[in-house]
Amino acid sequence: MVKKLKRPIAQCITVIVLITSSQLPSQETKDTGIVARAVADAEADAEKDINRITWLGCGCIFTVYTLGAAYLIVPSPKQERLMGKSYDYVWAYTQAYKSRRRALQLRYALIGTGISSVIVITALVIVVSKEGKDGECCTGPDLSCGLEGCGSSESCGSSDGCSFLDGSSGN
Amino acid sequence: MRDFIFILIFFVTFNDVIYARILKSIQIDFEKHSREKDRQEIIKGTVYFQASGKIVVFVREPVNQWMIYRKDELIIYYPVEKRGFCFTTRFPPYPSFFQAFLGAVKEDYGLTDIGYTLSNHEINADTLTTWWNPPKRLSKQLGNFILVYVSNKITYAESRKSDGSISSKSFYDNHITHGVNYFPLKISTVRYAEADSSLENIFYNNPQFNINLPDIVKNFKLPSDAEIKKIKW
Repeated sequence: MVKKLKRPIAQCITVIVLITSSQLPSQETKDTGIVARAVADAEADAEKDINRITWLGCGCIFTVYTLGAAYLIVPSPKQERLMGKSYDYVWAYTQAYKSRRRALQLRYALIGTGISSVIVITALVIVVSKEGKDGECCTGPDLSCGLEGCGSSESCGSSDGCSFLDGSSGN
Repeated sequence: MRDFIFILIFFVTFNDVIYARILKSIQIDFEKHSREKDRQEIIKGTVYFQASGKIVVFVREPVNQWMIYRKDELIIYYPVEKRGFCFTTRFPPYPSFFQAFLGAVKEDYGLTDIGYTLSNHEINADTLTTWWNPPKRLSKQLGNFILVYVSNKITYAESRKSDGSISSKSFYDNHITHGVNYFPLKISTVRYAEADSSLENIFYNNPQFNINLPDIVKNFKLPSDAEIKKIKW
């Protein structure tokens, strides 16, 4: 009698275990789907909300300070976007939005800082090279100048030697 | 950012002064249909508004969710799961979709209160069109505003960016009266964006003005066993 009862109970347990185990992955998939959707939505919204020009401009003007601000000041998503969304979605969305928004702000601030750095370095190179040129000997094809450098009212040409800035030849 | 500034000023200045005089409370059901890029959603629920500024939104579909807007915090609570979030904010939180409904209380949509000045108007039979300039201090963020009234009912609102391009267009329909005010029960809004524009249709129904709101709305308290995550915004 006991043996007869044991078999159906064991079968029932097996069926329950099978059903439970088959449901577990589908629940997990559902949760993963919600989280993936929330992350995708958050990233798209962060891309849409960010003011690129502001962060680029601030990066250009305030350089490294902007990088600090870009990291610390992260606006929140619009509250209305959380309406009608599940708990898991809201949690994933808020985290992903802030993370993406911070990354984008840092990227544009960094680009701005890079642009201003390039401008400053280029300006420095021009100034230094100009100062260097002032001391060079300007030698034309006929070496007629024979000067250490062109005068303030002359420019130095590679083939013509010194010429006056008003266009007339200095030779 | 521009929309945020506008709505924030609008809501903060408008809330206590005007509504307290005209409206003590509102209970209204809503259906919000929105479409943006590949996202499409329908949200159904009820809004409870108190003149003190407290707003509670009970969402029934697609999930059971309560949103409680207080002075400096937004609570999102899931009664079935007994868990939720408490977002603390620097500025008063607000359900912006409801702002358009409340805006109908004022003849000028509350634009004067936030510093807009009337630049032009035109009357054609029963249609009044008004053009508004933004306050000078915010002229870099905000653009002009156009309002159209037909038989004293607001039917169209258009907001522009500071560069003159259209930011959003709202169409108001199915008006009802409460006292001397007309409230639109259908509001369609198109918001223009660089990448993708969005379309939002809000249908209100079963409005009840100045009623005694349910106790759960007036004295909402989170259950002691609720699992609440606190997030600073």
